[in-house]
Amino acid sequence: MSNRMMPEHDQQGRRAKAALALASLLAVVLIILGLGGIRALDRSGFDDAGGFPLIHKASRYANEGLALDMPMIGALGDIERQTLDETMDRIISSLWRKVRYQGETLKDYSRADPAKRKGVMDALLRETSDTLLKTGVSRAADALDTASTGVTPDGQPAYKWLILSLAQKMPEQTAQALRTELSLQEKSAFESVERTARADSQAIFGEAVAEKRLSRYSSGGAGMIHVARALFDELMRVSPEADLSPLMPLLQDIPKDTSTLEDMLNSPARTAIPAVLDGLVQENISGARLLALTRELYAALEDHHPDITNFDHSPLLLLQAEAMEPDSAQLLRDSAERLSAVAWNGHLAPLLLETLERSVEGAEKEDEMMLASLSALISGEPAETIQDGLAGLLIRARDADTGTLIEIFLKELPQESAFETKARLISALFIFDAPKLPSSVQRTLTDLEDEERGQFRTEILSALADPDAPVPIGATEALEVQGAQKEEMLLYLHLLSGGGWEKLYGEEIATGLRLAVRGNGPRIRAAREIASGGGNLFTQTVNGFGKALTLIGVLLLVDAILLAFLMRSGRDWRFDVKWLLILLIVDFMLVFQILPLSYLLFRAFTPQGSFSLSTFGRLFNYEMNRSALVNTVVGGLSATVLGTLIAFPLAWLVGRTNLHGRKFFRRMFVLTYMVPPYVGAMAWLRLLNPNVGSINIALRGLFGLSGATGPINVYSLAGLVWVLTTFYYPYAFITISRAMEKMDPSLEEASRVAGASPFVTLARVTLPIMTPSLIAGALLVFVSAASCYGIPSIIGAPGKVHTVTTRIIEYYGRGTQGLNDATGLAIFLMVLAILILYLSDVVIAKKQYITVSGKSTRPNIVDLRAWRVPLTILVSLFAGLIVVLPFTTILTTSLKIDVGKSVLDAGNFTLNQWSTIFTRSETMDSLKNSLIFASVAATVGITVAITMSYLLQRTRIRGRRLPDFLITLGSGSPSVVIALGLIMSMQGRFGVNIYNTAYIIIVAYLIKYMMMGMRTVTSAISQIHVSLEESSQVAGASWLGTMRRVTGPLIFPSIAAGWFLIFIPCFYELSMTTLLYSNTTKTIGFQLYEYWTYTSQPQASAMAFGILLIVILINTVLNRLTKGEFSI
Amino acid sequence: MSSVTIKNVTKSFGSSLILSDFNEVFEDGEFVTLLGPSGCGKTTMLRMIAGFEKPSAGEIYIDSTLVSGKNTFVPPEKRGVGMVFQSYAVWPHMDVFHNVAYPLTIAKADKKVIADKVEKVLDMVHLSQYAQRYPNQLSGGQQQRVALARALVAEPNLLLLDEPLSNLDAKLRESMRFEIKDIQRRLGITVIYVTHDQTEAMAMSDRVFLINRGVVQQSGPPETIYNEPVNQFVADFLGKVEFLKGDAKEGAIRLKGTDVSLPYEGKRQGAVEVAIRPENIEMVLEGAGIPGVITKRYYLGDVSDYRVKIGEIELRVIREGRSYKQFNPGVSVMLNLRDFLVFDDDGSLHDQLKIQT
Repeated sequence: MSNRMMPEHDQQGRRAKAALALASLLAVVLIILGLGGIRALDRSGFDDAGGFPLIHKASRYANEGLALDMPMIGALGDIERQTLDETMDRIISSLWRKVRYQGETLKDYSRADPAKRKGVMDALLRETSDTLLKTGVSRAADALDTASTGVTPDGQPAYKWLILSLAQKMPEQTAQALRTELSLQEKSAFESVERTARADSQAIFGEAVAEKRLSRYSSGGAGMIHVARALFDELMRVSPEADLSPLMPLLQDIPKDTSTLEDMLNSPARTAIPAVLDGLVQENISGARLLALTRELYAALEDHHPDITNFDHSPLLLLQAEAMEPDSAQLLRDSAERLSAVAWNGHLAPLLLETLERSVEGAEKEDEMMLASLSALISGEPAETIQDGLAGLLIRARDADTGTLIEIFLKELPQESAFETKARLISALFIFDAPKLPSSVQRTLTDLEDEERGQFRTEILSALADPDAPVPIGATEALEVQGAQKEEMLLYLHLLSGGGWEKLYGEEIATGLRLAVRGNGPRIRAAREIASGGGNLFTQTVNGFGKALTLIGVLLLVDAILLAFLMRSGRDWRFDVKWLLILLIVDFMLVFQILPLSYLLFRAFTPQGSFSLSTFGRLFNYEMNRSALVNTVVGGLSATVLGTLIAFPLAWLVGRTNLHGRKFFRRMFVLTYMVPPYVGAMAWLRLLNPNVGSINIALRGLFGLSGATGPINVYSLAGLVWVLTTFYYPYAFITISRAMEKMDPSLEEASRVAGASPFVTLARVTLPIMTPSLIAGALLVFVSAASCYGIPSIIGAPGKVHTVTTRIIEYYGRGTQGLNDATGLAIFLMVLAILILYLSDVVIAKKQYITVSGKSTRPNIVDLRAWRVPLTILVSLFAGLIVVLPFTTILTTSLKIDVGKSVLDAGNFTLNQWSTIFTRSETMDSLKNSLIFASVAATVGITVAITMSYLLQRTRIRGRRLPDFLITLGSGSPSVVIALGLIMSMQGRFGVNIYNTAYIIIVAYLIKYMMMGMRTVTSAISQIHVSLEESSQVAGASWLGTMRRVTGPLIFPSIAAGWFLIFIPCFYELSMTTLLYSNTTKTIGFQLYEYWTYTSQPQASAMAFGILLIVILINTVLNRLTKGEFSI
Repeated sequence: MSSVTIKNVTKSFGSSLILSDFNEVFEDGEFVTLLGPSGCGKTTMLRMIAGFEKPSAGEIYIDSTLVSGKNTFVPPEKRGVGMVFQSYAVWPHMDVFHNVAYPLTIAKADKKVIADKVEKVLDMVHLSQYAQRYPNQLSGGQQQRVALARALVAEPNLLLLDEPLSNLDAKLRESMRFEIKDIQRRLGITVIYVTHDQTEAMAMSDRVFLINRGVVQQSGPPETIYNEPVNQFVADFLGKVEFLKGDAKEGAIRLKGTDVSLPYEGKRQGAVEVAIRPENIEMVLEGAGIPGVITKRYYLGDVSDYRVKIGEIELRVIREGRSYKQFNPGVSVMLNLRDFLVFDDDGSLHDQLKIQT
């Protein structure tokens, strides 16, 4: 039998091999084509590869126009023809220059802002053909940049770095002497330079703290609380006896509503100032008064400080920077970080000058300009002037080049097609530099009847061909436009007025090309290419999709190699259709998960395009980041330990003892699992706010504590840990409960019979057997807590308790440098997550030793006897504290007018918050967005999950674990990292651009939460014994029939549950959406966060409670739908 | 050693009665088997003796100590019994040595004593060379013996075995039967053994308690309950049996649907059930007896299984394997019923045989 099958095997195998080879070939071709396109793009200097096909199209339209106009031109006489030709030459040379010099003249350059100047300089450099000039200017410009920035990317003083790099080019002996001199100076001058730096820091801070414009501060100046607090602390340190009473009136004006702070305001200044500052809530401050207080505090400090010029203001500067809007903040931060470098530069200037002088002799030609520029800079010439000079050199060279180029172009045109080429060139140049038309002329043009149009165009042509001919009436107005050149304008009108040319100036070509090709040099090249025929259609099309083709090619190649590997390892070369499914999922994950994460990694290590650890160095040098790292790890670990310590006894009490109401409690504890963490954070904020928190007020009343704050301050690391714990312990609780239920009860009975009491059994048998689950649960808590954004952003930020996630999102808002820094922190988080993923894998592998008995016995219920009632009370108290209290708080907050008062106070009850959120279109839109995004993600996710679960459980196809691995990796990656990776890689860099769309959000959701559905469906399928399906097939049902009648109904509850398990976290997602949203794709979670931070806490609470209701509703529906088998 | 006295023990979970009014004394050194179909209450009885369940009513004594009673309950750890579970319940986080040593460790025995005793008991179950292994490195049979060793190491007077062999394969099960019996004989301990396998029960026990629906149907030595079942259930549960309806009158029973009369000296009159074990029927080609015709035959190796038509009924007959060639279908044969039992036909047969689930 097998012998007979062999030939067929062989044949199929041969066919598969051939197909694989073909696919690989195709992939290689695609990659070569794609890389060619990328190279072409690089060479062309276009900003968007879409320019290539547009060039081809433009050329085609130009040809069409030309073809229509040829009879008209043919009708001209020889002399007229000659005149027209000369006119066109003139137009070309003028238009060419206009396009080429647009915004890049010396005048433009010297007027521009630094960023623009850099852009122009780069463009000029790129277009310069004289290598010597190019290298010389480029070196000089770089050196100038470094010197005037004052500090190198890795934090060295610029002058030191310049001296050292110059020394490298000198003879060894001289260089050595220089280096010795440098280190000598560094040692001897240390003290004085640092003093200078401190004096500088004082100057800068003095200036910064004097800033009165509230618009310069973020969140209404609330950040200045910390500056004021720091100033106060410093003041108390240097002069404990200082008289602060003059500050009291100012202090009293800071809170908008003084009712809660009354006690404090009446105490002496020394205690009142810190108490009020600590007790201020963002929405209750008058920013301007706070700024005034800060200024006064600083003035007091200046008065009382024994040596204020020698006091290092850098920490104050950083605090001040934190309080300001990003732009001002960046400036301050930069100056704070550069202080010492700048001071050193000042000190090292003479040595650098000396080095420069010595370098002149024997310097390379390319370095001469740099040496001169630096000398000029040190001798006091402004950097801008020197740059102007450098740019002037380039511009002069360019202008000289352009003339020659135009001449050569015109001279070398082949006789027979010269006219057509010129016409096309002009039409193309007009795309980039069109004369401005008055609207009346535009209207005239559109209103022209067909016949009139022909007339009009012929007349224009005549006017161009014969300077004495009259200008058509419709065009005269256009010629009156200021600065209009008659010939250009006429020709432009001719082209614009029809005959097929006008297609060039519409949305598609003109706008498209102007966006795709932004550099002046590239524009000239594009126009010349249009003139010469627009290039080969195939090449231009391919070039247009270079990145996409490369990406597709690489994917195809990866797929082919993967398939070949799978077939080879199975020694079976037959193709299985199921591989297509696997490859589809793998490709998706490769593009949207592996690529972004790898790119993130790449960027973190190559911040300036080459390998460098400077990002990490800088990050780590910044105290706030170090504390964020510490907070993340310490906070995460504490929440883990605390959460597990809570979860284990709870799981045991609820699952294995005769506690009263255990089923009810179980439901309750699992409930927190579905609550968005930030909702919990909001609730705890209202409960534990040091001034107005209900628990604090209650505690103060209960123990008769004096003072208006405390005793508990939620804005602290401890507060963060507490809220993290209350929201992540259910992860451990659920894991441990499940393991406890699955444990064979006779394992414990055996211990009892062996003489061990229930508690000894718990300690020596139950606990050790549960350890793997315990660790798995703990790791889950850790990774969730460490990568959580919602809680630290709400609890931590006001208390300056930063975590890695809040730092990442903060950095993200800060431009390129910020993005690099965000990447560095993301890498830290990712490494942490991968470590955890690996550890839990090891633990789960070990977990196999949990023996599940074949006999389903009820779990042993331990009789708590005398402990039953006390423990039930304890658990009730706990549930009340951790579940009931926060949720009630959210509800009552949503019904208040004044958040500071009780909801029961007269006149403080309102339903307005609710009606507001239901009537406001922004909340309804974001709700709709959330519902759509979450449904799409859940539907796609569950489809993938079903496919994968089926492949995993029901087939033995090789490679089925690969998507599983990728999906697991995705769900283990911190949300913030996924989002950051997507942002950085999905803006077209790799041929995919979904930035700012709903797709990027949905993709992010899928990657993070697909796993939830897969786990559920996989375990459901694994519980259906294959024989159930087999017996259906034996009974005559087809595969599809079996799916429909047997497997489908059996796993339907799990599919529904899986769908909701993906849907729910997507529905209220915050961390990823914060990074990925655009104005049209805000979600309810993000909206809620915005409302909480900027608009109104009661309204945010109403939304939060609404979300809670939706989630509970879904859970109930799910429970009904699956006949109680599933709820979350 | 230990005796177990069970007085009027009743157990119900909620409204369902599991065991009703169990009264028995398991003697010192006796090997007692609780036999019955699943759900009959035998495991519950064992768990009550171990102390994992409390009787709803009645008392349990181990020797003369009341361990479960109205106001008394001694928890399992204080009862000093050994127990082997169906799933073995070998702890996965301890190696064989520590698994077995556990009862002694809990009792805070001296380290040297522990080592000695564990070594001895491991030797007894032939596991000495596996002491350092973890359970996941052992086969099912080896794990089972670890469980046995653990139950024996503290030298209990009473050993409880809850279907210890049901998860083993047939061959291993057979050899373990003898090992367990052997160990019991050597140590002279009392064993209460729960099983649903009648062969196991017959092979090992001094006394078998056949339980159905929470009620002991019959107890006694294996051959007594096999040969003298008190009701149809017992007859049916042990071995194979054919029930024939008949009419008892004047020293003979006339089998329904035939013209066969069996000589009968018993007291019963009227409608009766005749229980015949198929191996107790002699069958010859020629000679005296009840005439019948072979309708079907099955060759089973050691025996051959026949269906013989007598009048309107069909009777099952089991003979030695090599008789197969002799009795072709369609052949007329003569049957002699050497031994049979007679029960009243009170219509309860169907009900009795229905196994409670």
